[in-house]
Amino acid sequence: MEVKLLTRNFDRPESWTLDAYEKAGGYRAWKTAFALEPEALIQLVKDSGLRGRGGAGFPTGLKWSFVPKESSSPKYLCVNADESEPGTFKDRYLLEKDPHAVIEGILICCWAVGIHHAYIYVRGEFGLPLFRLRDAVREAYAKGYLGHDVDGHGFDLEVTVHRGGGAYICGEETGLIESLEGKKGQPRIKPPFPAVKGAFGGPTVVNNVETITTLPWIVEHGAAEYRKFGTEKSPGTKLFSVSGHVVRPGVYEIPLGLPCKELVYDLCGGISGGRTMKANIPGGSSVPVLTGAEAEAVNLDYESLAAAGTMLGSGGMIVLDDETCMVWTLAVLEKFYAHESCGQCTPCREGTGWLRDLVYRLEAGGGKSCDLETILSITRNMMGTTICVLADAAAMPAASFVQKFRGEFEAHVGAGHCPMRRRPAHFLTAAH
Amino acid sequence: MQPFATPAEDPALREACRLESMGGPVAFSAAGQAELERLFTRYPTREAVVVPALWIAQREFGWISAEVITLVSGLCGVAPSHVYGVVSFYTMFHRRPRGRIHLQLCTNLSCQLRGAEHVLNCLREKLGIELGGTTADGLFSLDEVECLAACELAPVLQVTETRRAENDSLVGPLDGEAARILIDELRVQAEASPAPVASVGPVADSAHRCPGVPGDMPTNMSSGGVRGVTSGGPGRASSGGAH
Repeated sequence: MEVKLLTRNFDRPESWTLDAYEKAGGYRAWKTAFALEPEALIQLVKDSGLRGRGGAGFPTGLKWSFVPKESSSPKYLCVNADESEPGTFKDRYLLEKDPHAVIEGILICCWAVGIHHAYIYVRGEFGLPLFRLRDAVREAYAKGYLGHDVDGHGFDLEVTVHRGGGAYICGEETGLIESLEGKKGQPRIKPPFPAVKGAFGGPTVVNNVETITTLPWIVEHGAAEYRKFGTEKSPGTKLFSVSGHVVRPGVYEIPLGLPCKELVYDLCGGISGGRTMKANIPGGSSVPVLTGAEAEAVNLDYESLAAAGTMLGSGGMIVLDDETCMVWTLAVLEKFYAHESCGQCTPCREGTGWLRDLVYRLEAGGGKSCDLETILSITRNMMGTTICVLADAAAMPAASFVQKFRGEFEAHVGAGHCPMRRRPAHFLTAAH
Repeated sequence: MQPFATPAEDPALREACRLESMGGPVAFSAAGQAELERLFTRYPTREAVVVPALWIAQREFGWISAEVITLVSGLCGVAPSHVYGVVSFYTMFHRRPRGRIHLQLCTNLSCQLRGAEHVLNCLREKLGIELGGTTADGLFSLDEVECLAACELAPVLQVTETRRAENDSLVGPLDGEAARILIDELRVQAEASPAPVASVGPVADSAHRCPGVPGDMPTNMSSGGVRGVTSGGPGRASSGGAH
């Protein structure tokens, strides 16, 4: 069962234009929001139970309330459109199909928190989403929805679209801020948290595109209506981007708490080629993997996934069929993390490289049985020991793959090659 | 006057930094300079304009040379070493000339699960180059790229014309044959128009991956090859690929 709150406009012709957005009732929620006192607006978002959709799941209204009301330095909103968690492509859809909903969400957030300049940090590789967003911002300025004295309400708001240079780590909120300031995107030690001292030294809200885009619907329909979807502790809907071995990969908006089985087998049409689901990475490549059986038993909400030992993350679900070699799969992932570690913390810089090299060797058939314990030991020394969670993001898949599919790793050691031999063994062609 | 030599002045430094020279000082076009001045009004510091300035530079010059680093350093009021740090940290700034058409194939998990390696091998064979290489005629460069956030189009390729304003297009899902046809089509289009070409490739519009729309995997490859897309004002790239 799909629910279309955020995706409600996707099917409209030229849905990305101001004209289409206004015809669909767009830019009305902003007026409703403006009629509320900022405190009441923050309370409304708190009451809705909306949690950050970028991966961490932190309550949005609470995050906003950490920003001081009075500040001697300007406050900023950074919209995180650096979507780069492998398997995640929901924000690309929102930016391509409904950029004005993003802008209206920005208006709502900025009024609530008292912000007069928002930056939208778009990942450098995005083409169409960036073009559409820039066009939408131009249209909104021309129509008076942005700029000086927005819509005649005496509120000023500047919006700047910022194109990144290509780095996964800039999706981490303090890495994003460093990058926005014109530096290498190396995350900062917290505290101070961005809400106190973020971009250009000012209090800063960093919110994911999906979080921001949810705001107009909540303001228009109210917190109680929003809570009718989802579960008690995970209210509302969530965009899942499903890829890998399913018949219909794509973006699906579902109420939180939907059985994973329903998403995979009904909405996505099941596993390609009539095969079975060996494994499921439910929330983007960084979360612990589930076995097919575990995935079939779990519901898709923050609490159920946590109880199953994994995370909802960004909702980037990657489905693996029964012909997939799990050692090979982990090698692909660890190559990514070793490439993307920013290098400032030793456990991550060294750990990601060692994980990659060990898994490469296992995959190629040269591994030793003690390698599995070494991998687990490395993951223990990475988790919780670094400035940001990229180390954890590399360690959690490694630990969970080895724990849940240990037999496959041991079979590689025993056979001296990949026993499945279904996938090319030497896929790693690039110098690393 | 810099207190120390910069890579623009010192070949040994260039070699150490893996930078190349454009042979002499460079400057932005009037349009590029105007864009830069506008950008300075959008950020509270000049330093914040380093990355946007590098984007302008890459569009105008095609790649980031030692001289470009000196230029951006002077305009943004930061040390050349700072600009170099930024250039080398991000993956999208080229420190050497790239082909006119830049092909970036995703080799992350979702694309690998659906055959990216085979597509990569077909592209290498068709183009006669390895990853990181450029064809002898300077038309194509081939690189791998991490997840492009287009996993429903896996295996997916990003096609970019290096010296034009932003024109990145996604092509997918590819198989070996589609990849070979794409290269032929791009070559024909490029040869038909002097650089820069107006149209380099199809755009994958998510219109064709609406949530829950049943049907076959979408493709942006029509039977006749690729669809072109023109860049321009609002609403550009609004047409999706052929079914």
